[in-house]
Amino acid sequence: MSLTVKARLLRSPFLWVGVALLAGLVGALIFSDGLQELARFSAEYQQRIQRSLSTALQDVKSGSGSLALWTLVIICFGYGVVHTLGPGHGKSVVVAYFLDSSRPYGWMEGIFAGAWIAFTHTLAALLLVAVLKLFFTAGLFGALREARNVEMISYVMILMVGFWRLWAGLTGRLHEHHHGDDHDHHEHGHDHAHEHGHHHPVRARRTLAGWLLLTAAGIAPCAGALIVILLSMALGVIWAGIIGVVAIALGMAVTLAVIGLASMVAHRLIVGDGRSREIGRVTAIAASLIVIATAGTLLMGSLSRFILR
Amino acid sequence: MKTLAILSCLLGLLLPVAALAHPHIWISQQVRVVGKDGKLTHVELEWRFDPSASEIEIPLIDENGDGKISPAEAKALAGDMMKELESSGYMTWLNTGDKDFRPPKRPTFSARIDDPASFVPPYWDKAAGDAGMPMPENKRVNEPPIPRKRGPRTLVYIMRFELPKPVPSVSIVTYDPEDFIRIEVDKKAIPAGCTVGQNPKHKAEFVRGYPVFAGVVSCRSP
Repeated sequence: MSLTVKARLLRSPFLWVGVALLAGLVGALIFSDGLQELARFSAEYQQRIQRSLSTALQDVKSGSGSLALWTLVIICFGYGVVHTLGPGHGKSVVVAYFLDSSRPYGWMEGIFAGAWIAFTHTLAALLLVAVLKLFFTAGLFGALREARNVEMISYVMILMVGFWRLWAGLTGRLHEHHHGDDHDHHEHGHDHAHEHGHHHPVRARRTLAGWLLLTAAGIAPCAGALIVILLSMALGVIWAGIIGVVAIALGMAVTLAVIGLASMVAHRLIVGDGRSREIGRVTAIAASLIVIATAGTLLMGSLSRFILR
Repeated sequence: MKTLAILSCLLGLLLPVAALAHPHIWISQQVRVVGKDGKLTHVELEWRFDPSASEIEIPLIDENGDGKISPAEAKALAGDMMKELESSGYMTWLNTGDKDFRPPKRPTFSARIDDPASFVPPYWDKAAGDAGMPMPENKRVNEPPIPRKRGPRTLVYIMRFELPKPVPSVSIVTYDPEDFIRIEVDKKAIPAGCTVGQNPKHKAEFVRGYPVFAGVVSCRSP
């Protein structure tokens, strides 16, 4: 079976998923109660998870053996997965990371990108608590306020990288793409061999932009990890809290890696489809626009608390 | 066309992002007013924190761990907390007739710990079903037989704000525009002479068109 046929087979489900999602979106916009229900549900879910978390941590404290610890780990892992699918900007950044590329990324890079965000996102929470504990009081209000402030820095950084990439995309400074092997890109869809060994400054800059983007998204401390660590500190079982935070990071990393791999496949299909620089450029511009839109919306939301003061 | 489809598929994944911002702290708020000579002089807010937030905060406040807040602990807490809340205007808007204003002065502050909890959010009760319907007996989750040292507790803050001048009526609304902290008026504890309603002005709104409204308590002197 040739790769062309395979690609065609791969492509059609994407089309259908796209159409289904579009229909779903339009439906959600029309029947607006749906989204409100979703928001209500996520608030309700957060309550349930916070309840389970504090019960599990209290059980760990009262020394009920490994069952409580495993419960905690499972809850935290699930929280990581849902947290990634729910609010936040990690997803869009991972998607953008893979759209703003011209060379085909390897599978490992997809996994690394997801893991990197998950790692920085939870590490930021741990660091924030540590700093607060050392220099101030690590109260809930203070921690959440600081988390929101750092979140804003993160949005600004994402916006800056987004505008940088947009500018690069518009001025056409990013495409050193096909090195003359345009004619048979299809056949090489999953083949890295034609990548040229020498370093392009443009490519280095693009990789830098990608990692900057991932790190910028990661430095916003994870509110869930923050709560787990604060709760475990309050109950005097900080080690259990750290295990919980690691489980959250794992859940996030797995989910983000799947999203990253999906967007990588999508990007390959798009580029493979067009076989031209123009399409690659369009995806790069689209990537920066996604980033700008997401970070911009979130930043506006954060800024409203200063305006409304 | 296919490019468009794939791009829209990716965009579709991203759009619900902002709609799902959700609270991490729940507060049940009780509002009381204090009057003198037929006019209102003070507004008192009582915040009851959800069990998880209480559990985080109580060990930090109750330094000697006796489960009560001593006067010295209350004083230390007041110093920290009032500074913290002042910067966000106590998340409260007052209105005595024309324009909304933030509480102008620091309130008189006190705190206590309710054990057992006096505020448990609806979804904290595993035995409770959805929308107020109880779970059937045979479907209820039985708590695992783990010897728990204690059940949930509630941390309570009480803030008494002085109004700039005695007024015949006042309306009070407390909310976090980011919905990180969800403050809901306890509808079972509305004092006489007060009503609770909504003002479309006071809402948390992440996505235009999907607001979470805050409860506005309007009181007039008897």
